[in-house]
Amino acid sequence: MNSSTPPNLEDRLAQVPRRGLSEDLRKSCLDLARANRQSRSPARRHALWFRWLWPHPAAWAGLAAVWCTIFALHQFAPVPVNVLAATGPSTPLILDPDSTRQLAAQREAREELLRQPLPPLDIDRPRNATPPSTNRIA
Amino acid sequence: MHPLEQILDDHGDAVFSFLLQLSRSEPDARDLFQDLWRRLVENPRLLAEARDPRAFLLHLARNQFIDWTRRHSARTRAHEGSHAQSDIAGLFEPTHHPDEAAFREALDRALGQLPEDQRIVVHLKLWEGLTFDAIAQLLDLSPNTAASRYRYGVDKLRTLLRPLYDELHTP
Repeated sequence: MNSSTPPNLEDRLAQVPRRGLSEDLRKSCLDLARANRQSRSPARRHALWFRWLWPHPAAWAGLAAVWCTIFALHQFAPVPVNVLAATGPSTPLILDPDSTRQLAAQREAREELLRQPLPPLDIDRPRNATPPSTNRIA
Repeated sequence: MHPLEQILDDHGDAVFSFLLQLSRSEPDARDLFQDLWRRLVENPRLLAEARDPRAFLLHLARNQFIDWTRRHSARTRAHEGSHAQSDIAGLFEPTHHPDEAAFREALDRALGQLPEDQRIVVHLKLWEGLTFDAIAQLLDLSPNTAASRYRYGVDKLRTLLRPLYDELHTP
Protein backbone atom coordinates (compact mmCIF):
# COMPACT_ATOMS: atom_id res chain seq x y z
CA MET A 1 0.00 0.00 0.00
CA ASN A 2 2.91 2.33 0.63
CA SER A 3 4.05 4.46 -2.28
CA SER A 4 6.05 7.61 -2.76
CA THR A 5 3.19 9.72 -4.14
CA PRO A 6 -0.21 9.01 -2.60
CA PRO A 7 -2.90 8.82 -5.28
CA ASN A 8 -5.82 11.18 -5.35
CA LEU A 9 -8.33 10.07 -2.71
CA GLU A 10 -11.25 9.97 -5.12
CA ASP A 11 -9.36 7.76 -7.56
CA ARG A 12 -8.28 5.55 -4.70
CA LEU A 13 -11.87 5.20 -3.46
CA ALA A 14 -13.19 4.43 -6.92
CA GLN A 15 -10.74 1.53 -7.16
CA VAL A 16 -12.21 -0.24 -4.13
CA PRO A 17 -14.33 -3.02 -5.59
CA ARG A 18 -17.93 -2.89 -4.44
CA ARG A 19 -19.68 -6.04 -3.37
CA GLY A 20 -21.96 -7.68 -5.92
CA LEU A 21 -24.61 -10.35 -5.93
CA SER A 22 -23.86 -13.48 -4.00
CA GLU A 23 -24.11 -16.79 -5.83
CA ASP A 24 -27.16 -17.94 -3.89
CA LEU A 25 -29.04 -14.70 -4.54
CA ARG A 26 -28.15 -14.87 -8.21
CA LYS A 27 -29.33 -18.48 -8.38
CA SER A 28 -32.64 -17.71 -6.67
CA CYS A 29 -33.21 -14.83 -9.11
CA LEU A 30 -32.54 -17.06 -12.09
CA ASP A 31 -34.85 -19.73 -10.66
CA LEU A 32 -37.61 -17.16 -10.27
CA ALA A 33 -37.16 -16.00 -13.87
CA ARG A 34 -37.27 -19.58 -15.15
CA ALA A 35 -40.34 -20.45 -13.09
CA ASN A 36 -42.15 -17.40 -14.36
CA ARG A 37 -41.20 -18.22 -17.95
CA GLN A 38 -42.56 -21.73 -17.59
CA SER A 39 -45.79 -20.53 -16.00
CA ARG A 40 -46.40 -18.35 -19.07
CA SER A 41 -45.88 -21.18 -21.58
CA PRO A 42 -48.98 -22.74 -23.28
CA ALA A 43 -48.21 -26.17 -21.84
CA ARG A 44 -48.25 -24.71 -18.35
CA ARG A 45 -51.55 -22.97 -19.04
CA HIS A 46 -52.98 -26.34 -20.05
CA ALA A 47 -51.65 -27.77 -16.80
CA LEU A 48 -53.41 -25.02 -14.86
CA TRP A 49 -56.71 -25.92 -16.51
CA PHE A 50 -56.08 -29.53 -15.71
CA ARG A 51 -55.29 -28.70 -12.09
CA TRP A 52 -58.53 -26.71 -11.85
CA LEU A 53 -60.54 -29.69 -13.06
CA TRP A 54 -58.49 -32.23 -11.17
CA PRO A 55 -60.46 -32.53 -7.88
CA HIS A 56 -63.39 -34.40 -9.56
CA PRO A 57 -62.63 -35.09 -13.21
CA ALA A 58 -65.37 -37.73 -13.45
CA ALA A 59 -67.99 -35.23 -12.25
CA TRP A 60 -66.88 -32.66 -14.80
CA ALA A 61 -66.87 -35.29 -17.56
CA GLY A 62 -70.38 -36.43 -16.54
CA LEU A 63 -71.68 -32.88 -16.60
CA ALA A 64 -70.18 -32.36 -20.03
CA ALA A 65 -71.82 -35.61 -21.27
CA VAL A 66 -75.24 -34.52 -19.96
CA TRP A 67 -74.95 -31.22 -21.78
CA CYS A 68 -73.92 -32.99 -24.99
CA THR A 69 -76.95 -35.30 -24.71
CA ILE A 70 -79.34 -32.39 -24.15
CA PHE A 71 -77.91 -30.61 -27.16
CA ALA A 72 -78.16 -33.70 -29.36
CA LEU A 73 -81.78 -34.34 -28.32
CA HIS A 74 -82.65 -30.74 -29.00
CA GLN A 75 -81.12 -30.90 -32.44
CA PHE A 76 -82.40 -34.25 -33.68
CA ALA A 77 -85.72 -34.86 -31.86
CA PRO A 78 -88.83 -35.05 -34.22
CA VAL A 79 -91.33 -32.18 -34.16
CA PRO A 80 -94.24 -33.06 -31.74
CA VAL A 81 -97.58 -34.17 -33.31
CA ASN A 82 -99.66 -31.39 -31.70
CA VAL A 83 -97.38 -28.80 -33.28
CA LEU A 84 -97.99 -30.37 -36.70
CA ALA A 85 -101.78 -30.40 -36.10
CA ALA A 86 -101.81 -26.75 -35.06
CA THR A 87 -100.04 -25.68 -38.22
CA GLY A 88 -102.45 -27.54 -40.55
CA PRO A 89 -101.69 -29.38 -43.79
CA SER A 90 -101.68 -26.34 -46.07
CA THR A 91 -99.39 -24.31 -43.88
CA PRO A 92 -95.68 -24.78 -44.28
CA LEU A 93 -94.02 -26.30 -41.22
CA ILE A 94 -91.17 -23.87 -41.12
CA LEU A 95 -92.24 -20.28 -41.15
CA ASP A 96 -90.09 -17.30 -41.43
CA PRO A 97 -91.20 -15.14 -38.49
CA ASP A 98 -90.15 -12.00 -40.32
CA SER A 99 -92.29 -12.75 -43.32
CA THR A 100 -95.65 -11.00 -42.85
CA ARG A 101 -96.90 -12.59 -46.04
CA GLN A 102 -96.52 -16.07 -44.65
CA LEU A 103 -98.17 -15.09 -41.40
CA ALA A 104 -101.11 -13.62 -43.31
CA ALA A 105 -101.47 -16.80 -45.35
CA GLN A 106 -101.49 -18.84 -42.18
CA ARG A 107 -104.20 -16.60 -40.67
CA GLU A 108 -106.26 -16.91 -43.85
CA ALA A 109 -106.03 -20.70 -43.78
CA ARG A 110 -107.31 -20.74 -40.20
CA GLU A 111 -110.25 -18.49 -41.02
CA GLU A 112 -111.12 -20.67 -44.00
CA LEU A 113 -111.24 -23.69 -41.73
CA LEU A 114 -113.58 -21.84 -39.34
CA ARG A 115 -115.91 -20.79 -42.20
CA GLN A 116 -116.37 -24.35 -43.46
CA PRO A 117 -119.68 -25.90 -42.19
CA LEU A 118 -119.40 -28.72 -39.71
CA PRO A 119 -120.78 -32.14 -40.78
CA PRO A 120 -124.41 -32.68 -39.56
CA LEU A 121 -124.81 -34.71 -36.42
CA ASP A 122 -127.22 -37.65 -36.50
CA ILE A 123 -128.92 -37.04 -33.15
CA ASP A 124 -131.81 -39.50 -33.65
CA ARG A 125 -129.58 -42.51 -34.23
CA PRO A 126 -128.84 -44.37 -31.01
CA ARG A 127 -125.25 -44.70 -30.05
CA ASN A 128 -125.23 -48.49 -29.78
CA ALA A 129 -127.21 -49.02 -32.99
CA THR A 130 -125.55 -51.56 -35.21
CA PRO A 131 -125.05 -50.66 -38.79
CA PRO A 132 -127.30 -52.53 -41.25
CA SER A 133 -125.93 -55.82 -42.36
CA THR A 134 -124.66 -55.93 -45.89
CA ASN A 135 -125.89 -59.54 -46.23
CA ARG A 136 -129.51 -58.48 -45.67
CA ILE A 137 -129.33 -55.78 -48.28
CA ALA A 138 -127.87 -58.16 -50.67
CA MET B 1 -28.99 -16.36 -23.00
CA HIS B 2 -32.42 -15.07 -22.02
CA PRO B 3 -32.68 -11.23 -21.85
CA LEU B 4 -33.47 -11.29 -18.15
CA GLU B 5 -30.42 -13.40 -17.42
CA GLN B 6 -28.36 -10.98 -19.47
CA ILE B 7 -29.73 -8.10 -17.39
CA LEU B 8 -28.83 -9.91 -14.20
CA ASP B 9 -25.28 -10.44 -15.47
CA ASP B 10 -24.85 -6.90 -16.75
CA HIS B 11 -26.50 -4.87 -14.00
CA GLY B 12 -27.21 -7.16 -11.04
CA ASP B 13 -24.03 -6.30 -9.14
CA ALA B 14 -24.49 -2.56 -9.60
CA VAL B 15 -28.11 -2.60 -8.48
CA PHE B 16 -27.40 -4.81 -5.48
CA SER B 17 -24.46 -2.62 -4.44
CA PHE B 18 -26.62 0.49 -4.73
CA LEU B 19 -29.35 -1.12 -2.61
CA LEU B 20 -26.73 -2.13 -0.07
CA GLN B 21 -25.50 1.45 0.02
CA LEU B 22 -29.05 2.73 0.49
CA SER B 23 -30.17 0.27 3.12
CA ARG B 24 -26.77 -0.44 4.71
CA SER B 25 -28.06 -3.87 5.62
CA GLU B 26 -27.37 -7.00 3.63
CA PRO B 27 -30.64 -8.81 4.49
CA ASP B 28 -32.64 -5.71 3.57
CA ALA B 29 -30.67 -5.26 0.35
CA ARG B 30 -31.39 -8.88 -0.55
CA ASP B 31 -35.11 -8.45 0.10
CA LEU B 32 -35.18 -5.25 -1.90
CA PHE B 33 -33.28 -6.82 -4.76
CA GLN B 34 -35.58 -9.82 -4.85
CA ASP B 35 -38.66 -7.56 -4.85
CA LEU B 36 -37.19 -5.53 -7.67
CA TRP B 37 -36.28 -8.64 -9.62
CA ARG B 38 -39.78 -10.06 -9.15
CA ARG B 39 -41.22 -6.86 -10.62
CA LEU B 40 -38.92 -7.18 -13.61
CA VAL B 41 -39.76 -10.83 -14.13
CA GLU B 42 -43.49 -10.19 -13.95
CA ASN B 43 -43.26 -7.14 -16.23
CA PRO B 44 -40.44 -7.79 -18.69
CA ARG B 45 -41.63 -4.82 -20.74
CA LEU B 46 -40.55 -2.44 -17.96
CA LEU B 47 -37.06 -2.40 -19.41
CA ALA B 48 -38.08 -2.54 -23.06
CA GLU B 49 -38.36 1.21 -23.49
CA ALA B 50 -35.46 2.21 -21.25
CA ARG B 51 -32.72 4.01 -23.17
CA ASP B 52 -30.16 3.36 -20.43
CA PRO B 53 -31.06 0.12 -18.62
CA ARG B 54 -28.49 0.68 -15.87
CA ALA B 55 -29.78 4.15 -15.00
CA PHE B 56 -33.36 2.92 -15.24
CA LEU B 57 -32.67 0.02 -12.88
CA LEU B 58 -30.92 2.28 -10.39
CA HIS B 59 -33.89 4.63 -10.52
CA LEU B 60 -36.25 1.68 -9.90
CA ALA B 61 -34.03 0.54 -7.03
CA ARG B 62 -34.17 3.95 -5.39
CA ASN B 63 -37.96 4.09 -5.71
CA GLN B 64 -38.17 0.58 -4.35
CA PHE B 65 -36.09 1.63 -1.36
CA ILE B 66 -38.25 4.71 -0.73
CA ASP B 67 -41.44 2.62 -0.81
CA TRP B 68 -39.88 0.03 1.40
CA THR B 69 -38.73 2.65 3.92
CA ARG B 70 -42.25 4.05 4.13
CA ARG B 71 -43.73 0.60 4.64
CA HIS B 72 -41.16 -0.42 7.21
CA SER B 73 -40.65 2.88 8.97
CA ALA B 74 -40.61 1.36 12.45
CA ARG B 75 -38.26 -1.37 11.31
CA THR B 76 -36.01 1.16 9.61
CA ARG B 77 -35.75 3.20 12.79
CA ALA B 78 -34.71 0.06 14.60
CA HIS B 79 -32.04 -0.55 11.95
CA GLU B 80 -30.73 2.96 12.28
CA GLY B 81 -30.33 2.29 15.96
CA SER B 82 -28.42 -0.89 15.34
CA HIS B 83 -26.22 0.80 12.71
CA ALA B 84 -25.08 3.23 15.36
CA GLN B 85 -23.49 0.28 17.14
CA SER B 86 -22.39 -1.87 14.20
CA ASP B 87 -21.73 0.50 11.32
CA ILE B 88 -20.15 -1.90 8.83
CA ALA B 89 -22.55 -2.65 6.00
CA GLY B 90 -20.19 -4.90 4.02
CA LEU B 91 -20.25 -2.64 0.99
CA PHE B 92 -16.97 -3.86 -0.47
CA GLU B 93 -15.43 -7.12 -1.51
CA PRO B 94 -13.52 -8.77 1.34
CA THR B 95 -9.76 -8.99 0.98
CA HIS B 96 -7.00 -10.92 2.70
CA HIS B 97 -4.58 -7.97 2.58
CA PRO B 98 -4.64 -6.50 6.11
CA ASP B 99 -3.99 -2.85 5.14
CA GLU B 100 -6.52 -2.94 2.35
CA ALA B 101 -9.04 -4.68 4.60
CA ALA B 102 -8.56 -1.95 7.22
CA PHE B 103 -8.99 0.74 4.59
CA ARG B 104 -12.19 -0.83 3.19
CA GLU B 105 -13.59 -1.19 6.67
CA ALA B 106 -12.81 2.44 7.47
CA LEU B 107 -14.35 3.55 4.19
CA ASP B 108 -17.48 1.53 4.89
CA ARG B 109 -17.77 3.09 8.33
CA ALA B 110 -17.11 6.59 6.98
CA LEU B 111 -19.80 6.21 4.32
CA GLY B 112 -22.20 5.23 7.08
CA GLN B 113 -21.57 8.59 8.72
CA LEU B 114 -22.56 10.57 5.64
CA PRO B 115 -26.10 11.85 5.26
CA GLU B 116 -28.07 9.63 2.92
CA ASP B 117 -28.40 12.19 0.11
CA GLN B 118 -24.62 12.73 0.04
CA ARG B 119 -23.88 9.02 0.31
CA ILE B 120 -26.06 8.21 -2.69
CA VAL B 121 -24.43 10.82 -4.87
CA VAL B 122 -20.94 9.73 -3.81
CA HIS B 123 -21.80 6.13 -4.60
CA LEU B 124 -23.23 6.91 -8.01
CA LYS B 125 -20.27 9.11 -8.90
CA LEU B 126 -17.43 6.97 -7.58
CA TRP B 127 -18.64 3.42 -8.09
CA GLU B 128 -21.06 3.81 -10.97
CA GLY B 129 -19.05 6.46 -12.77
CA LEU B 130 -22.13 8.52 -13.60
CA THR B 131 -21.86 12.16 -14.60
CA PHE B 132 -23.50 14.84 -12.46
CA ASP B 133 -26.11 15.30 -15.19
CA ALA B 134 -26.96 11.61 -15.10
CA ILE B 135 -27.04 11.59 -11.29
CA ALA B 136 -29.27 14.66 -11.31
CA GLN B 137 -31.66 13.00 -13.74
CA LEU B 138 -31.73 9.79 -11.74
CA LEU B 139 -32.38 11.51 -8.42
CA ASP B 140 -34.60 14.34 -9.75
CA LEU B 141 -32.10 17.02 -8.72
CA SER B 142 -30.34 19.85 -10.46
CA PRO B 143 -26.78 19.02 -11.60
CA ASN B 144 -25.43 21.74 -9.31
CA THR B 145 -27.13 20.17 -6.28
CA ALA B 146 -25.73 16.77 -7.24
CA ALA B 147 -22.24 18.27 -7.59
CA SER B 148 -22.38 20.09 -4.27
CA ARG B 149 -23.63 17.01 -2.45
CA TYR B 150 -20.77 15.04 -3.94
CA ARG B 151 -18.26 17.68 -2.90
CA TYR B 152 -19.56 17.81 0.68
CA GLY B 153 -19.58 14.01 0.85
CA VAL B 154 -16.05 13.58 -0.45
CA ASP B 155 -14.74 16.31 1.84
CA LYS B 156 -16.24 14.54 4.81
CA LEU B 157 -14.80 11.21 3.66
CA ARG B 158 -11.40 12.87 3.29
CA THR B 159 -11.60 14.19 6.83
CA LEU B 160 -12.67 10.83 8.21
CA LEU B 161 -10.18 8.76 6.24
CA ARG B 162 -7.22 11.15 6.29
CA PRO B 163 -5.39 9.68 9.32
CA LEU B 164 -5.58 6.12 8.00
CA TYR B 165 -4.95 7.17 4.43
CA ASP B 166 -1.84 9.13 5.37
CA GLU B 167 -0.60 6.28 7.52
CA LEU B 168 -1.06 3.78 4.72
CA HIS B 169 0.64 5.97 2.15
CA THR B 170 3.53 7.28 4.26
CA PRO B 171 6.78 5.75 3.13
